[in-house]
Amino acid sequence: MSRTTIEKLTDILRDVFVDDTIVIDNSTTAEDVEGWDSLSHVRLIMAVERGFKVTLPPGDVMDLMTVGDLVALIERRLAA
Amino acid sequence: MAPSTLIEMLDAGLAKAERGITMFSAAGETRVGYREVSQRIDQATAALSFLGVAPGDRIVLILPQGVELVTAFFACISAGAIPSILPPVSQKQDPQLYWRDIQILLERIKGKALITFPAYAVDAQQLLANGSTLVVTMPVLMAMDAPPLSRHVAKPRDIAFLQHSSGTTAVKKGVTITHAAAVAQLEAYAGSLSIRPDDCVVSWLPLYHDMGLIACLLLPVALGLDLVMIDTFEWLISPGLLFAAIEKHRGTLVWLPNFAFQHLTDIVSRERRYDLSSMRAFINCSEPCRADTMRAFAARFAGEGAGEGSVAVCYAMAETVLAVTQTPLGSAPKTFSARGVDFSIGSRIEPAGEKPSPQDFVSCGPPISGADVAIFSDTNAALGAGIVGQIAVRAPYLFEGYYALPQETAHVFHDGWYLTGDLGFMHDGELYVSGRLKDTLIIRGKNIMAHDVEAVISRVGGVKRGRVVAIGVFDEATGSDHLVVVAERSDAGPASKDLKAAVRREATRVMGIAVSRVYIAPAGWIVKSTSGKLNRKESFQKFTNPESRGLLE
Repeated sequence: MSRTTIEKLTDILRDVFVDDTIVIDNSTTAEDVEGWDSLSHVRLIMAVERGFKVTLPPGDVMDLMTVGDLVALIERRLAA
Repeated sequence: MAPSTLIEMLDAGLAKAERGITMFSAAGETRVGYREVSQRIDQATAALSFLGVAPGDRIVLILPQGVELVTAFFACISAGAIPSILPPVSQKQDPQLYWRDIQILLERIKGKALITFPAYAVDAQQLLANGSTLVVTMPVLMAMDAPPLSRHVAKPRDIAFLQHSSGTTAVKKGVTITHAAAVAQLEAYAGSLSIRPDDCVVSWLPLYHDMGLIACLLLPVALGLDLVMIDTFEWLISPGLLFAAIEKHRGTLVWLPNFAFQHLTDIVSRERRYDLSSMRAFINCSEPCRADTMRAFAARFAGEGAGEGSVAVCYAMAETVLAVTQTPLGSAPKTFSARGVDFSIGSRIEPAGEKPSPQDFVSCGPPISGADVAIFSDTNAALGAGIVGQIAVRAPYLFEGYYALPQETAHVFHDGWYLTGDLGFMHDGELYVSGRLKDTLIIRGKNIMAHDVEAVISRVGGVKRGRVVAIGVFDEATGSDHLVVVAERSDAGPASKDLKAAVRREATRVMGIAVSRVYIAPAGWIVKSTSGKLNRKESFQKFTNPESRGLLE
């Protein structure tokens, strides 16, 4: 069975923020994760683009409020 | 005749009709020539006057990066009014709190008008409860049928603008800059950069920050140079845009805080090569410059035309309009490898020689024309070369004080010298910055007052009141200091994970700033004096000591 987007995203977040204890769900926000600010957000987006082999429009990635928004954006781009 | 006011200087620059401002974006670019910029300024100046704005009135500008903001800023100055640019509300910041802070600031400076964008005007009118400030948008100003007005004739001693770049909004201090100071700085700094008519400044820096406003707006416009501007957020997410703009417009001068060098080095794709050969200097300014960051940048981009000789360093602050020192363009800044770990006031700096783990300091260069730099002891006595002390500056471009804050102003002057709060030493006629004395944290070029952060976090439920310390800790990954908060938990406070999230959420909601790391400390960990005053320095030392740091969650 293929892994869900959120499982894959969890691995990417753990890698980017160097913290194997990170647990996320759709309601997680940047404030819930140590070190997640506007600069590291750019690193995260790059890692997401590499990990999912998608490109995320710059205009969209700065407006994300929750992990759920990011998951929805990734899935939209995967379907496109 | 040499210009004596900023208005005369800007008029001379705007007369260079073949030059102008380009807004550069991945989606395309738009260019407005200086003749057109000048006409727009005339229109906005007439409209402001028609609305009752008079010389000396304070005006706050909250506008997105672009020609509209440039027009509004220069129109205020042309009308003899005193503009100040403030940042827009940041994402996730509570708009109510943001506008409350703006209102406090407007009351202190007795702001006559707020010029903002249409999306903000309704909020502004509702939330600026007292209604004594006129709220106006640029489309309204630009459409107004007002009788033409010639430019105000200012005196050199008149205030030209206020620079609110330090601290969070409510407690931001307005650095008061006169026409004479602005003109003296622009002339001195242009001289030290050997500005040429074909120079082209490329910038993504916000204009509410001194480096963006002075180096990347006033300097190019007053000297009639081409200016290419990029939106800050677009640059952050696509840093390669800076290089694309340089390549296309043959950019020559760029100012960046240290973290931006790191960001470019890490994020710009290796698959796309840029032609950066037109560049005269990438100038590292506004946060402590790191030798390793500069070396990594030069190594990464040398093949594209930005090697060691293209990086330079400037020591600057709003209180001197901008630059105090500048390394010579065209050669790599010098570094000083020092022995030891004690770089406090009065310590003599010794070369490391063969000793292990030296501390590398990067030179900020010699003082620019007109600047006197001295190194002061604890009692404000001048210290000799090679000894660490507080950096003090005297210059014809020194600020007049913090607007409407006489006490804060008195604190930072000694016998005509401005006490910068930075620690440093002189070596071979060049200035090296070694640390901070004041409780100002410099996070990615932004000045944040530690006590502001502590006051906000102290009110978070579950945090023990007054038992919070905010510190800046260098982060290798980003090439900048991280904002770190250590807080003690109150009795029956929530679990650490929840408390940490609450702390981060409150900092964003109230101040619009991100706390990178939160640590929960056991009771009594934070150091206070017997009078109950927070000892930030000793608390910081405990943080750097592995044993006491190990007690933190």
